[in-house]
This record gives sequence, structure tokens and C-alpha cells, in this order.
Amino acid sequence: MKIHHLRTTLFSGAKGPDWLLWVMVVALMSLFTAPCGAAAAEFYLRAAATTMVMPTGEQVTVWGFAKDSSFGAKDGVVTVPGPVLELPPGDTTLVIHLDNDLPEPVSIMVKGLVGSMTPVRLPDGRIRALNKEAQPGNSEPVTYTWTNVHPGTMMYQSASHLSVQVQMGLYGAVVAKADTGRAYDTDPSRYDSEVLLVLGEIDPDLHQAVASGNFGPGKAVTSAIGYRPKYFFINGRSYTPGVYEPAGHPGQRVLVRIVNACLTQRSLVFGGRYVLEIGDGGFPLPFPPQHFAVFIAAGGTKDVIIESAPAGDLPVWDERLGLTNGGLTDGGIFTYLRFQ
Amino acid sequence: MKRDLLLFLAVTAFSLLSLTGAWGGVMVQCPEDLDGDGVSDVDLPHVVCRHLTGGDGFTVMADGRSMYIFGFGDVTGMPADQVLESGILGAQFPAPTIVLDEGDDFYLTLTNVGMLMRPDLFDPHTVHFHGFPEVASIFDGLPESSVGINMGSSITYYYHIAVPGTFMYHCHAEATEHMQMGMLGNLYVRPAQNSLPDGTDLKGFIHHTGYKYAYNDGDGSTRYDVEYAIQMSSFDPEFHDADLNVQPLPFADMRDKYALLNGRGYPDTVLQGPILNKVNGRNSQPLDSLVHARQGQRILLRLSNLSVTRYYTLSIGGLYMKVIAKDAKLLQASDGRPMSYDTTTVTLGGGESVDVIIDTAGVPPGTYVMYATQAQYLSNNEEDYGGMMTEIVIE
Amino acid sequence: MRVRQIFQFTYCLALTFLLVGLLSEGPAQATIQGISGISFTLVAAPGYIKTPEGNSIFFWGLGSDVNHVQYPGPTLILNEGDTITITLYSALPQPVSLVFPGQEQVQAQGGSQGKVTREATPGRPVTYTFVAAHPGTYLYYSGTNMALQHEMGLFGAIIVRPAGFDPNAPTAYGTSDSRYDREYLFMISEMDPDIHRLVEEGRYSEIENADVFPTYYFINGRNAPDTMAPAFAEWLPTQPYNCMPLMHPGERLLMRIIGAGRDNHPYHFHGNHAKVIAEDGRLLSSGPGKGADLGYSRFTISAVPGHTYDAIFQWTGREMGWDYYGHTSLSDPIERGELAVTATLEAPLSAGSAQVTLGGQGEKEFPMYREVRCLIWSKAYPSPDKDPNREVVKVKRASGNLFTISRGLEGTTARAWSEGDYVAITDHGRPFPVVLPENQNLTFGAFYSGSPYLGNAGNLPPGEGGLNPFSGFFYMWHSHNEKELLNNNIFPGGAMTMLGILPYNAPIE
Repeated sequence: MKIHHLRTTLFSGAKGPDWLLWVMVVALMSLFTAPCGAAAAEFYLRAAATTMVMPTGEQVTVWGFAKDSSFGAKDGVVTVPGPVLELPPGDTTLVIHLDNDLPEPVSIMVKGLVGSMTPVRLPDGRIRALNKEAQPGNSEPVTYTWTNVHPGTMMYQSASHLSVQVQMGLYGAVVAKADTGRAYDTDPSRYDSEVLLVLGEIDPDLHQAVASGNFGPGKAVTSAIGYRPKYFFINGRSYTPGVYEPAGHPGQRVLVRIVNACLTQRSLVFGGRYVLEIGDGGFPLPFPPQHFAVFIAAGGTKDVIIESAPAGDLPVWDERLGLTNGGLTDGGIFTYLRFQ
Repeated sequence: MKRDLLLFLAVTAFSLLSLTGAWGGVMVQCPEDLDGDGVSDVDLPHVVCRHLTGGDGFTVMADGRSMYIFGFGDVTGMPADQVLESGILGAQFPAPTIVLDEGDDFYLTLTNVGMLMRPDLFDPHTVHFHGFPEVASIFDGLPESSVGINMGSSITYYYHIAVPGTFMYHCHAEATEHMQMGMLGNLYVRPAQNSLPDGTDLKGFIHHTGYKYAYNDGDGSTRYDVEYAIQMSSFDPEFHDADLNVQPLPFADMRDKYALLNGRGYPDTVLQGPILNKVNGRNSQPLDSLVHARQGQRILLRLSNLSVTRYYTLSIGGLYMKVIAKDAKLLQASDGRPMSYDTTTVTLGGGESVDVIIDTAGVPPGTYVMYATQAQYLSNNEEDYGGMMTEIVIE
Repeated sequence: MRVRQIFQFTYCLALTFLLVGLLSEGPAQATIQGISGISFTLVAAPGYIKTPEGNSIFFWGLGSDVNHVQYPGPTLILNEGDTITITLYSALPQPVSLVFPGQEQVQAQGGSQGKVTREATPGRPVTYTFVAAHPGTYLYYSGTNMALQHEMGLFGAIIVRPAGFDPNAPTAYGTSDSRYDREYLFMISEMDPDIHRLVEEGRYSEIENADVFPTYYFINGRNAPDTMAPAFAEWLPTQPYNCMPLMHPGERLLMRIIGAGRDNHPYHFHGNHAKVIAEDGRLLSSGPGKGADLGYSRFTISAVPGHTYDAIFQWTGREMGWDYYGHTSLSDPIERGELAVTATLEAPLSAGSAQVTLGGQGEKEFPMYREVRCLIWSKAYPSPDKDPNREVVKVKRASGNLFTISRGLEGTTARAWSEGDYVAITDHGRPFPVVLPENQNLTFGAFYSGSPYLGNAGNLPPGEGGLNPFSGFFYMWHSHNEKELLNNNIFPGGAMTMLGILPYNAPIE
């Protein structure tokens, strides 16, 4: 923690020729922080491939993140979306150590958190990654640190090869808690209970091309321009009968944190009830509107409050109609919030 | 060779036709323009005259593919007898950026130079000043409710610029075709608040000469140091090729595959300098989208979308944005409280604009990337690592 | 060329009926068609809609019986506080239901329990009850197999009138800032005809809902130019609702916009900004009594799926820089709606004064930092054309309601004025600023009067114009993703209509 404090000081004072010095300090610091062990908001993420079974039975190779206990332990489970990275109240520092078991370089960014980005370029000068990368099979973790984390619901994702790696599954939620039973430093954002909904989608053909090495210059598929998702998910699952998300007790103020990792906007309806939109992209909205349909931008997040729901299962669906499982109808981005 | 001959024939034909009076010829209207070049010859405060051509031309996409376009060219101040030659195959994409000040009297002349590669077409053109408030139909550029200007002739539009903000403009004749083909451009108006006397107290914020604001905010909240107008658009190559080859146009099947910022796909978006098209070597995509600022500066991005097919969402890795205005209107409650908000994404459909400010105080120097979160459009059609993406350099 | 002929022919048909409508009398709120009451029967059944280029598309609709289903379903016009009962019968091959976002105490009885609510099947109707507790613009739609049933057409609009609604002084939300002179509905949707064909032929297993690619776009269930044909046109039996907004300058037009499709549609309205005062049936307000103080102005409203918007559109031609009635003299008559912004003198103004204090609320509309042309006239006269001593000035806000003033412009004389005299922003008497090209160099629109002036018919060549008998100003209101201005492969069409701003001597239904 002492080192983090030092870094913050340098950070705010960094300008002009000090900058190079600062880079050197950060580089050195990365070496020291890595073996320090688990702080509250320190995570060991591993990017790796796994298989997801689609509701049609189709097996699709996806790329996801696992939360390991330490670098090299490889004891986490690779999931899509990746594990939730939760920051306890008052913790403004987030550290991610990245391990890469994928065949191409991977990097991490958290949307909405300001931090130094160190792009990686292709030989022709194009940016391949928005941030420093972990190479396949890296022997040391690549460490990312943010010291300015504010409360909110954010999305982390790969910052490498964006056209491919996000839709392959390299994304997840960052939940930074405020310390007062509120999502933000605003009164309407107070809540009793919370639930997280991460929206996603899969184009099995593009996954197949990437997983089988048929994506790239001169190969069968050379770009993602033909992307056509066929499966739609909440928290990595298409609608499955009998499955619900515990939301809270009847009558409580329930905070729903929504992360949209789809490559299109979505419009969520909560059984036709009004919800209060209190946050967008990890920032509080100044005058929360009441809506019965909630727009979430592609790659965006929203926080909404459900007030006074009665006991029972409140259906949630996507009015943009990502409600199918491949050719099968009546599935997709649909679930229940259970109040009991 | 064929093209040069066509060009020669077209210029000759236009000249002859205007002599006979069958076609109107080039005529610009601008107050106190004594020599007919369409610019005022005395200093008239708040009078702005521009002269555009409407015609065709060629661009080149970031993957090297040549793309036929319809578009506007800038011939402001050019003698009338040179306008046709400059305008023919002189279309730019996006159209020449129009920057105005609140209170201006704006005279915009449009000369239709015809589409050289499509001698079978006799399309009129118009200018639609998109979002212009309280417009009369005659200057709305909507051909269904007013007039379009025919080939070989000029029309002058007049606008009293009463409201600041980020607007846009495009041709509205055969709108789906002419807009898919590229007749789109940036247009914005700077506020009267910029010209307040030095030392004016704006609710505790002291204005100084040289300060620039996005809107008449009354409190300095929209002050910025550097501004960039960035327009989203997208092209369907099949449609453009069909137009060039005089084939039936695939309207229903239109699928845009080049997503562009200011007419270029990445990495051309960050290429400073001209891109010469492959057909007549003109610099027809003159605008890059590389954003430059020094740490501590406030960056104003004037974002608009004129895609005819899609919504696009822009996000910036490692930065966030304050949305201060939408559709040329400051986000402010009726009692003056700010309704601006911070976010990581802005989503625009066709015909929408958004102004965002990025405050770089405390932002580490470096290169940041602004990109479409519809990540399949980070492609130049079949080429990966391209599309709707640009770089923001903080020094 | 053939396309344009079809388009103009339909326009002409539309116009014939429009003219009939224009001459009839009726209350202001009659411009949204729908059914009123507290108890409704809706039947879900198949039918066919027509598209302007000649196609016929199989759809599932709602209506009073199996032979009278419509697209979209009937607009339900309700009163605040009423308990509403809707009985849904089905003649569809799969269960169907209705959900009512934003309504309170929704109950369902009968039928069988579905994923979202109770569902009807042939012979087993469902009765829904709810309380229309709040005024506003809402929608209803199927809560069953939504990806397919919304595509097929099972949705409609709900309008709840505020308590104490007065048809002669209507408001949307009971607040003064939601008052309006005319109201129109803009329910925007789309269709992929391939899916409809597969349903028609019973080939359900071939439907790929995830890969929908719409090629038809609708406002109130019609594609342009049918949007402008009369409501309940005989040749469109399953598409009874039109969308032909008309208004006079200065009036308040309430737009009720609903995103009823699966895609966002950027609805762009030429002419002016509109102020959004409510979303999803809730006034954009920071508290009781504040009105729509959080409202915002837009020139494009993104109709997000499942969302509703109420917006007030006004057009006064303010600060155009020329007189859109074509007046050339200050003594020419002032037309209704021409003096858009009028303030009063807070204190007497002496002949030599270069400063003036304005009040009367109108001054709040004056621009902040910029000079603007005004007329001053005596409160003894109703309008400046009647006052022989009227004066042209330019005023510029100095601070608060104190303005600097340039006096006696354009041949008028600076003189003394009294407290309470009028100051109005106007371009009255200012000439048209440019010369229009000769007719042979122009292509004329069917909605062009031949003159740039409102209410003034110009000289058009034979066969030109023709759809603008009152010489109004027309503005396209349309989806600004212009691909949506198509009827399948035919331009123009789709989610588009025209706003007509007509001179006051033209009656509007």
C-alpha cells in the first residue's frame, strides 16, 4: 500500500521530463508489486480458451478469463463473462495481474477508469492493442494498476485485437462499491440489495473461424465484418426454464447493475415496471429518469433501481428482441429476478 | 484517357449550354461581391459566403479499394469560369467543413456540375442544413417541398445563424442514394459568448478574450482549448460499384462495410496529409481525425453521425467523456442546473450530434484510442485492424 | 422515373382525401385515431397488410374480430384513474398475451400461465385489468414468443388523458408546459418480409429470428407515401391509421413517438427542434410543480425499442432574417403567429436612451449575447402595423433583463416610449435575401407552392407542384437512417411523412 501511495503522488505530479522517470518507477514497481500477495482489489486473471455449450447443444470455443489464486496457479475456472472484479468500499486501487494462455497477445482495460495506456502497434504502425500486452504463455504476469477507481459499475475487457477478442468472450464486470449503501454519491442510488446482469452474444461461425486458426490475413475469414450473432446471454446463459437471479426481498430497493458486452445496443424491460436510471458507464446520472425500457449502449453499462417489487419472479427481457437461441425461438436475453 | 475526354466534353457542353441560356451557368450571390467570385469585396462583419459544387468523384478506402462517390467540392472565391473544371470529379468526402459564428448571415451557393461518370443521370442536388432551427422550406434543401438545382446551374441558400451548436449538412435529393454515395459534411456554429468583453463575470467564472466555448452556457462550463469535428459515416461498396457501373442499386440489401470517421477508415484516420484517389489523383479525403492536446487542455469533440444504415457507439480506452450537448442543444435544466453527465460511450443514429468534452487534467501523456464498440466495424471491409477508430494523443 | 410516377400518383390520392379532411370541423384531439372506453375486446388473428410498391405481407394483428385485425393494434385512448379491462381472444396458431409497460396493478385471468403473463389460445381468452393511474404515452405488446410476435405485428399504442382533460384546452400531463393545439402519433416499426412468408407458409423451423434483416419501415403501420393517405382509407383495411401532421405557425404540436420495432430509429423532424417533455409516460421533472424543467430539445429523437417520448414542436419562423410572408413594408399587416417573442418595456424609454429594461416574460426568450432586430410599438395598438410611430431597433442583452439598444433603424425615428409598450423580435418587412434561379434550372417538389412565402402561390410550370393547395411550408419527418426510406427496394417510402405548416386561412381538422 505504501508503494501505491507513492505512485499516486508521482501520478498527479507527472509532467514534462519527469515523465520518463515516472515510467521507470512504474516499471520497477510492477516487479515489486507482483509478488506482494493478495490485496483486497488485486486479481490474478488468466485468459484462456474453453468450451461453452449453446442451448441448441452446439459446442462453441470461447475465450474467457479465470480468477487464479496466484500467477501460475491456474486454479480458476475460465468463464464468459469473466469473474466479477469487486472493489470493497473505500478501495480506490485496482490491480490486475494478467496471465495469457491464448494463442495471441491479450491486454486489459477498464472502461471509464483513467490510466496510462501504452498501445502496441503492428509492424505497419496500426494499433493492435490499446494497452500493454501479455504474450501467449507469458512467464511473468503483466500488471495493470488503476489508483483512481471511483464507485460504479464498469466493464473490463481485452484491449487487444478488439474486433475479435471482445466477441470471443474476454470481458467482465468491475463493481466498485461505495461505502454507504449507495451505488454512487447520490441519494437516489441508495439500495438494499443488488444483482448484476452481464449481457453477451455469440456468432458461432466467427468463433469457429478464430478457434480453428482460420481467421487472419490470407485465411478463410479475414475480418469480423460478417459478424452475425445467433446466441444471446445474460450472465453467460441463454434463457433456461427454472433459472432465476436472486434479487432481494419484496419491497426492497434493488440495484441492478447492467453490463452490455454485445456489439449492439440493448433495451431491457423489467416486466413493464418503472425503474430509476441512476448510473451510466460507471458514473452517476444527475437527474435519474424513470423508464420502463432501459437503453444500454454497445459496450456500455447502466445502473437502475427497482423499487417496491412484490414477491415473485419479475421477468426481464430485451425489447431489441435478442430473444432467440440460434434458430430456436423464445430464449436469449430473458431471465427472472426473484424477490422472496 | 476516356475520363479526360469526358471531362473536356462536359466542360465544353456546360459552357455552350449556359451561353444559350438553356442552363443557368455558374452564378454566385454574395453581398458586396464586386468581381463575381462569390466573396465580399468589402469587410462586412458577420457576412459569410461559401461556394460548393455538387458532383461526383473518387475516394480510396483504407484497404486500398477505390470508391466512386457523389459529393461536394469547395470552390469558394474561385472565378466562375473555373468552377466547372474544378468541380467535375472534384467531390470531397466528407464535404468541406462549414464553420460559422452565431449571428452570421450565411450565403451558400451550390453549383451542380453533374456526375461525369454517370452521363445518364440528370440528378438535381440540394444542401440540407441538418437541424437548422426555424427554417423556411425554400432553404431547407428538401427537394420534395422546395427545389433542387439542375446540372450546370447554381442556387444560393441564405441562413441567418441564430443558434450555436454542432449541426451537419447533406444533400437531400434522392436522399438514400446521394447520402450513401457521400454527400455529407461537418457544420458547426460557434457561440456569441466567445466575443464577450474581457473580464466578463459569468456566475463567478471570469471570461477572458480568446476563451472559446461550445455553447452560450452562462457559466464557462463548456470552455475548451482544442476542438475537433468528427463525423461518422459508412459505405456499402456494392452500392457504390453498382452506381459507378450503372447497375440496379441494391437499396434493400444495403450493408455498410466501411465504417468511417471523417471519410476515412483506420489507419488513414490518423494519417496527416492528403490521400490521393487512384482515378484523377485529387486529394478528395482531406480530413484526418487525429486528436492532439497537451495535458491539462480541454478537448471538445463535435461528433455527428450521417450513416444511412446504422447507429454507432464511440468509446475511448483509458478516458471518459463529459456529454455537454446533444443535437446542438446544451444539456441544461430550465433553471440553469447542468444536465451534462460523464460516460464511457456515446451512441448516435443517423442525423444525431453530440458534443463531449474530455478534460485532460491529470491524464497521463500518451496515445489513447477512440473506437466503435460495434467492434465488427473495426474493419475495412475484409481487412482487419481498421474501420471506425482513431487516436487521441496527449502530450 | 416509373417509381416517381407511382409515388406522385399516391400523393395525389392522399391529397384528395386530405383536402376533404381539411374542410371538416372537429375537436383538436381528433388527430390521433383510436378507441376509447374502459372495457375492450381484442382478437389476435392473421391478416395481410399492403405496401405502397404493391406488396402484400402476411401479419398477425389485433382488432375487434378476426376479420378486422389491424397493424398496429388499436390505439387505446384512456382516462387517468380508470380501471381498464381488456379481454384478449386468439385465433393464432400459438399462444398469445399482452403486457402493458408502465401501467399499475396489472392482473391477468383466464387462459394459461406463460413466461411473462397469462396467455390466450383459441377458445381460452384472457382478461387483463389495470389502472391507468398516470397520464401519458404508452404502448402494449405481446408478452409471448416476443421475437416473433412483435415482428409479426402484435403491438399498439396507449394514450392516457390527464384527469380533468378538456378537449378545447388539451394537455398531455395536466401541466401548462404540456398543453398543445394538435397531437399526432408516430409509432415506428419495421418488418422483414422473409419471416412473414415463412410464418404464412407454416415453415416455423426455418425462421432465423437472430438474423432478421428488415426491408420495410412503418409509421403507425404504414409506409410512405401511404402515411399521408387518409385514416381509415378503404384500400388499406388493415392499416387504418395515417400520419399527416399539419399545423399553423406558432401552434404547439404534441409528438407522441413510440419505438415499436426491434431497431432504434433516429426520427428526424425538419423545420425546428422539438422539446421532449416526457419519456415512458413520465414528465421530465425535478419535482411536483416544476413542470418539465428537465426537458431537452432535439432535432432527432432516437426511438429506442419499447420506449415512448412526448415532445412539443413549434415553428414560428423566428429570426429567419427575412419576412416569410413576403411583406416588404412595416405597415403591411402582421399575420397570426408572426410575433413569436414579445416583451414589454419595464420602464419608460426616452428618445435618446441607449439602454432599455424589458419584462413580461418574453424577454427570457431573447438571445443571451447577441444583437437582435425588434419592433417597438405603443400598447395602445394591438400590433405594430397599426402604430404609425413604430420603431425598428436592435437590442442586445447587457445583463439580466437590461438591454443595450440601437435606435431608429431602417427609416424609423427614435422616440420616447412608455412603460408597458411592446418590443417584439421580428423580421417583419425585411426582403427576401437572394434571387432564386430561373425555373428551367430547377427541379420542383410536389409539395412546393412555387413561392418562398407562406400562403403565397408562385408561378410553377405546368404539371409541377400540386400537393400544396394552401401554399404551406412542408417538412419531411423521417427516419434519418435513410435506408429506412425504402419500401423494399423502392425509394422513396418507409418511415417517412411530411409536416405541413399552413397559413392561418387554411383550416385544419
